[in-house]
Amino acid sequence: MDPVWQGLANVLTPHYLLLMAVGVAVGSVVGALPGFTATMGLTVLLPFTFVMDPTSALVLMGALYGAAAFGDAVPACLIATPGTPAAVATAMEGHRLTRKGKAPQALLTALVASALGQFTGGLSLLLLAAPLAALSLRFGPPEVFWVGVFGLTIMASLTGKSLLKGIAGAALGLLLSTVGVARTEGWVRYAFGLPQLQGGVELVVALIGFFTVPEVLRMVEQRRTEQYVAEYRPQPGALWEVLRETLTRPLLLLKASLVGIIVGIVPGTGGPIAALVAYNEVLRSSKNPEVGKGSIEGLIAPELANNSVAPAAMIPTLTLGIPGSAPAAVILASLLLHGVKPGRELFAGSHAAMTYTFIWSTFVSGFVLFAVGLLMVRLLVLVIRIPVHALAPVVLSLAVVGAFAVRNNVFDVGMMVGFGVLAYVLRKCGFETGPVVLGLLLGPIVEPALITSLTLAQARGSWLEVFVLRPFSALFIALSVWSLVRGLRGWKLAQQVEAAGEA
Amino acid sequence: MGAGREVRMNASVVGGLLLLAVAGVAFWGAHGGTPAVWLFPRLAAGVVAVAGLLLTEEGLRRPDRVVLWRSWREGLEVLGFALAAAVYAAALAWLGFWFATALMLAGAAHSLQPRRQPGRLVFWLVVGLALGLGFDALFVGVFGVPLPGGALWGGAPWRPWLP
Repeated sequence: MDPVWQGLANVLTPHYLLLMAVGVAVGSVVGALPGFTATMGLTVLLPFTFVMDPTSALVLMGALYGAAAFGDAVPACLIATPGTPAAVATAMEGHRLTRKGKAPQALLTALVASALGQFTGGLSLLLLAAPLAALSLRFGPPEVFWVGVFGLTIMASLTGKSLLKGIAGAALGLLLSTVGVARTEGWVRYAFGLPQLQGGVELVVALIGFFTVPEVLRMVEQRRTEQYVAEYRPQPGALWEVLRETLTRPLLLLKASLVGIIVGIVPGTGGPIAALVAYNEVLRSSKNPEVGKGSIEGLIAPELANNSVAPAAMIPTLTLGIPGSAPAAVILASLLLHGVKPGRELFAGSHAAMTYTFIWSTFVSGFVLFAVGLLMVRLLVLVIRIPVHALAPVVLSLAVVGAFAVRNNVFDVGMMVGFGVLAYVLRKCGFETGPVVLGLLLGPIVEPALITSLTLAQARGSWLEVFVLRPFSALFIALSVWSLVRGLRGWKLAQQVEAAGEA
Repeated sequence: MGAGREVRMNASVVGGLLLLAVAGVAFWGAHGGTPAVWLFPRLAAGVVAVAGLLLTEEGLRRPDRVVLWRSWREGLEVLGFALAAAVYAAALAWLGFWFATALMLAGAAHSLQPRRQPGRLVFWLVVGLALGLGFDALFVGVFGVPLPGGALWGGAPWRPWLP
């Protein structure tokens, strides 16, 4: 059978439907928990996916990622606190709708729009991933090197306020990836006499350290913030009202989907940017006076765009190995840990059935999200009341289990705590952890590509020919320069705005 | 340094110096073998060093006094929690996952709750023990993760019954 249809047949079996339901349930709770993000949920889950086959691991993680993008709407609507940064627009529009006594409509709009976002994002993944992966077949070591450089520069320029800090973060990640035995020769680097470091920095340990521990410390910091929880009482007919309001606006659905898909494909961006762009667009273009003051229409756009991002972010992840968002980076890590490399091989080789099962699952999990979400709304309303002083130590203990489980090594737990404290300090200094983690992920790909390209250049006697005068190398060099120039302009603009504010 | 005073720092200078320290260690540690061994780490260290220099210079020229914590109390609580996490990690092998987790959960939840109530410590200890043993049973029994049983006890109380 063709792997595309094999994937669809697989995903409709009870095994994968059940995995999606579990992923959606856990993801919804993860999104709703105060201070908990999809990335944190995925990093804590990651070590336990080792016991699964790679397809099941991907399906579970994909469902969790998408559902967390819905779950974050619950605290956003009920306590005006975004469960994740992607729910900032939802916190504005959704909470205003809640204050009008329409909490059920707000949560159901988030659910319906999120499910629709999964469909459209999943469709983009299905249609665009394979052709893009076919291009990667033409990539030799120099192209792979420049793709890696582009991934790092675009991530550095789009995350955080400072381009310089983004670049430094990416270089820090690359440095961390060089710890342990060198890939090209058996020389040990940066082990400092510790045998535990000879095997290198374990990816999962670093991911948990960089993504989860600083969030736990942030929970401790912000736990005194008093929150008013809006009352939630189910209203008969609310679901039909939401479905009518949503499905009669095809142009809005199309625009929000396109925003989510485009932002999702661009590496290093993700849900927060997509949701805000889509929300701005609906504020600008809608003739409805209620938009911006608490309306279903105003809530559809950010929620739909946010969920379209989740599958769309997998397009560069699966085809080029450059994650479109932080949660996609964790899913990429899962792939790599299962010994599966991104690129053409995923779509044509022995892994094709796995890839298409995952791709179809992002689409089908839209239905699962709608069904499970309807059953879970009342539970999620209770989840947001869990006090942070109880949640933070529980998350820490789960992080410890995750870090230990990779190599059954207590040293890794200490390393995770160390990375967490480092990430916390870096964040306080204005660094984002995304570029660091991407550097760590891309280091093992970029370094051998650079060394092989240099050997090639030496053999041919021309650096220019190997590094620059190849069409795809030239394209990715141009894209890297563009991303740096773009980042530099944004940085200068931000400095001017800051200076004007100070004046 | 009152309890309610904001704690600020020059983030560019602190970040820049941190980068310079990392770059120094990276340059010092990347040696031996052919260029294939040290070229890539030295390139990355070079980028880190240049970024560190530029950031430090920028921070000295235009100090950016960012808020580190809203008060010293908040800062001490965060540092205390980070220290507790480090002690928890160090004590795992000796106390075992279940007991270290119980102590960490009870201690952290009790000290972080908004209003301290002495009687609540017993409650958090019970919750901590239940969760510590529950997680141990789940991860050891179901997922097969060989979590440290603790040199002090030789395992969690339920483990002798593990098939």
